[in-house]
Amino acid sequence: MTDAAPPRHFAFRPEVGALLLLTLLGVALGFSISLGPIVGVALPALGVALGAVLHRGLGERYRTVAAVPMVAALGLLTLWAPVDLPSEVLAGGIGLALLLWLASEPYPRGRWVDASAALVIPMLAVLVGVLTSLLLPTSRNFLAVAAGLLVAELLFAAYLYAHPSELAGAAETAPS
Amino acid sequence: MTTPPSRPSGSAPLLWTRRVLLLVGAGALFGVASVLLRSSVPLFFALPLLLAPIAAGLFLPRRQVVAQVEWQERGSGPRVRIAGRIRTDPPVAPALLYPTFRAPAPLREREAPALEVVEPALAFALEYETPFPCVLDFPLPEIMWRDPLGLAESPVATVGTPLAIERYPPELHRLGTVNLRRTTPLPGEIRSSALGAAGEFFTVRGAIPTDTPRQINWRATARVGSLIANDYLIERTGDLVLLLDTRPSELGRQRDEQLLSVARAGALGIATAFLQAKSRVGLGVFGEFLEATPLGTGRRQRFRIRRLLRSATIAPLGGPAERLAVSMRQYYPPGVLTLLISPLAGEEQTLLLPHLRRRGYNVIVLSPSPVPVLVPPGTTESAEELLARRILRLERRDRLGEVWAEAPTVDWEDYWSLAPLVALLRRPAARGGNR
Repeated sequence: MTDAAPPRHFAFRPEVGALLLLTLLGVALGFSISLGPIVGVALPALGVALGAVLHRGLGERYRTVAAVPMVAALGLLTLWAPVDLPSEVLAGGIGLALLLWLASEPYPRGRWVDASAALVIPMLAVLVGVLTSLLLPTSRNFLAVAAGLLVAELLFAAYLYAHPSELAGAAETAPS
Repeated sequence: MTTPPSRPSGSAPLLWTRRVLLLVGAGALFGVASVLLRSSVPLFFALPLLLAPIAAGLFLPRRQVVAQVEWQERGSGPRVRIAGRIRTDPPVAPALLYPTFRAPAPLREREAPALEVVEPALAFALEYETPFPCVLDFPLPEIMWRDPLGLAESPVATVGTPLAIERYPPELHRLGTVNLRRTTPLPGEIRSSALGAAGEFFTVRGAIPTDTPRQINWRATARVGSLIANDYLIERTGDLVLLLDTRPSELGRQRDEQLLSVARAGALGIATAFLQAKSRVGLGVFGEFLEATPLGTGRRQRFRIRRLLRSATIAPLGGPAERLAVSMRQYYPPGVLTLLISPLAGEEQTLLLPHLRRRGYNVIVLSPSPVPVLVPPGTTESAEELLARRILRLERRDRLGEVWAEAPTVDWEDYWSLAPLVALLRRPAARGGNR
């Protein structure tokens, strides 16, 4: 009911900027993947376009899954990317741009929230990763970092599943 | 307008949105892929996704947020314009608040709610329209706090009062000048407790700028040396009983509810106009049994009448007409002017009149017409619709003709105008004359 007002304060919507940034970073990474530049360019462009259509074009029902094609397309891109510093920086940038788009996405009513504070921690993590890549160029360090993060995330996911009442959707349907 | 906020203690409840599952799932997937493929690139992509929920959690207010809603209604006629502000304690960024406004029937949304951050509050403007007069309470909005990434949210406790919205035909403001018939044995003995510019002399006091020259006591002024004015005890002009027929009719529940909404608005408008003129007004709501507010005056009486009107719904079962007439005698003296508001949509509803008259009540009927409800007026109407409306009007004319034999009847088809009722009440013969 409150989510349908047209934006009033911005001629250029922040989410459009975030989408453009995502596409640019995706295309830049796509040029270097092993499947060739055509697939590399088409994959992020299609993913972002599909996400944008799901978000804006097909109504409220599909809005919640709008991020899925973007995450899938851009994530697949990183699997075939060469392991070098530019690719790592671009991959980190894509992840951050995705969060930037998410930060602009929940505000269809023309309100722009300064999400920079929410992006600080992920940005720092990417920065630390890039610095680690520069200073400690051995693949085992990454494996250790990845394994540690993986364990932490699995614990977090286990906590979420153990406390289903803390999921917003579950709380809406729970009897009062 | 608002009640002081009661402060819920404890920390704010945190609810994760489904987006968290997507991010954490995708991050974990690409993390695993990174380990399996021995490639650091997917891990760089996964890193922001995995850390985003932690960043979102850091934004969560440390204790339960309480939002105070201050709002008012500014529209007129069918337009309902609501403007207000939402302030929070503890203060949170207003842009992170997501209010959901649920407009009660019959309000229809004209424009989507406009929200604007006016630090430190969130200002909102709502635009609705009502197709017919109504009396309703707009409920407080449900408010959610959401983090900037849309990953976590927390319900916000809302304090304030529902917004009262009242729409009735503007002609009713002129009703106050109608002198009603008194039903007290000695007119002039029962006075209003209110003071005013006319009536029985009460006292003198220092003049105020709004006093008229007639109110100034010039002799007292000359003696004292400063302007002195007279105060008078205002006399009550008379008594009126409003009677709503909420029995189900053959029109069906939904249409009955629409007509009841119109009747409620009309009753409140009429009561307001007469109460402002210091008359005594009572209200009876007859469904299966009679619910009554005895005759009374003043702002409290208006509040009582409004409360009874708000609670009035179409009864599941209609009571017999004689029961109403018998019950009326328990609350109201015979001879009092009774305004029966009934759509007269069935034989049973018209039977009320002879019983009321037999018990000594002087009845005028205000009948909200069911025709606009049965065939809603549109911009383009087909020949069939025009014919249907014509037949319905003829049927209704026939029925009202029969009712006229019992009591003066006003057909209320244009819901936004009650000029025929005002004209009828201004005629002393119709309301029984002054004693």
